[in-house]
Amino acid sequence: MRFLIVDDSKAMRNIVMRTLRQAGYGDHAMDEAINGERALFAVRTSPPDLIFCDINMPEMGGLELLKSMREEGIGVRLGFITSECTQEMISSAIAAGAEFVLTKPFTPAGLKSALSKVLP
Amino acid sequence: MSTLELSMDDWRATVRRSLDDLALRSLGTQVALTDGEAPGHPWAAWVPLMSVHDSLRLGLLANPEGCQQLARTFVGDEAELTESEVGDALGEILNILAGCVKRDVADRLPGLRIGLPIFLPHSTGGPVQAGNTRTAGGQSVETDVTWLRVSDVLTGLILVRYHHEGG
Repeated sequence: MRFLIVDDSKAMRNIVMRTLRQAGYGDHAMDEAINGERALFAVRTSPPDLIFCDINMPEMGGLELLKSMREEGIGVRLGFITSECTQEMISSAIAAGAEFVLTKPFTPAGLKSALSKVLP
Repeated sequence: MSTLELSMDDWRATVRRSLDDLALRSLGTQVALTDGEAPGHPWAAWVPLMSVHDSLRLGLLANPEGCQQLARTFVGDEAELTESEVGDALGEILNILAGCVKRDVADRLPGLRIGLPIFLPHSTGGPVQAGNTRTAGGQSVETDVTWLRVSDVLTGLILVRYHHEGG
């Protein structure tokens, strides 16, 4: 299985990858993108199995990425990892088709719990 | 004061609650109040939180070694980080802090927006001073400085509140 981690912060991408390893997903391949635009390009050329995506990013944010993928008929699953986790934001994300919304800061247990609903 | 604004005391309380939570969960440490003296040439990271009538600029400052230590604790890396990596990590700490604050005040400031964080190394300005000023446009600017120990780093927590009287 291959994951794509999308966040404009290198520190946060590293933290997501480390937490994935701590949660027991270390044997999966992990790619990175610095914003929605780069992620969309990566998804078009080589679709991952699951995308972990920030919401607020320069150039193209996470919700825009999700909407763009769906408009292009790309059905890759996507979950948000964001610091902006108000009820309004969660509702928008789920309505747009997100698999889960995880709030920063998060723990390996929290990530594992979110993934248990998505991964086989 | 309308229900769509917060006093500086309200902001300070919610930011401290959020910082305590973040420090425990992301830095594995507790935050303690301390007496501080501003470092001569601090590095600082800022993030804006904006609503219609009431906005806040939230900042953390420390000396370069302290910023390096905070950033390394956050990313869980023992290796020396570059200045850019330190800025990235501090910006993300502030981004998470702003998110916690936004959730905490969502009932009182429903339209609060978080801007992008900025990192200002090699500050040449004078020390940040607590106090109140008023701009020519009638906006009041309130600055609050709290000195804390975070991961054993002397850290300045700076809150700058911008408020339109009668807005």
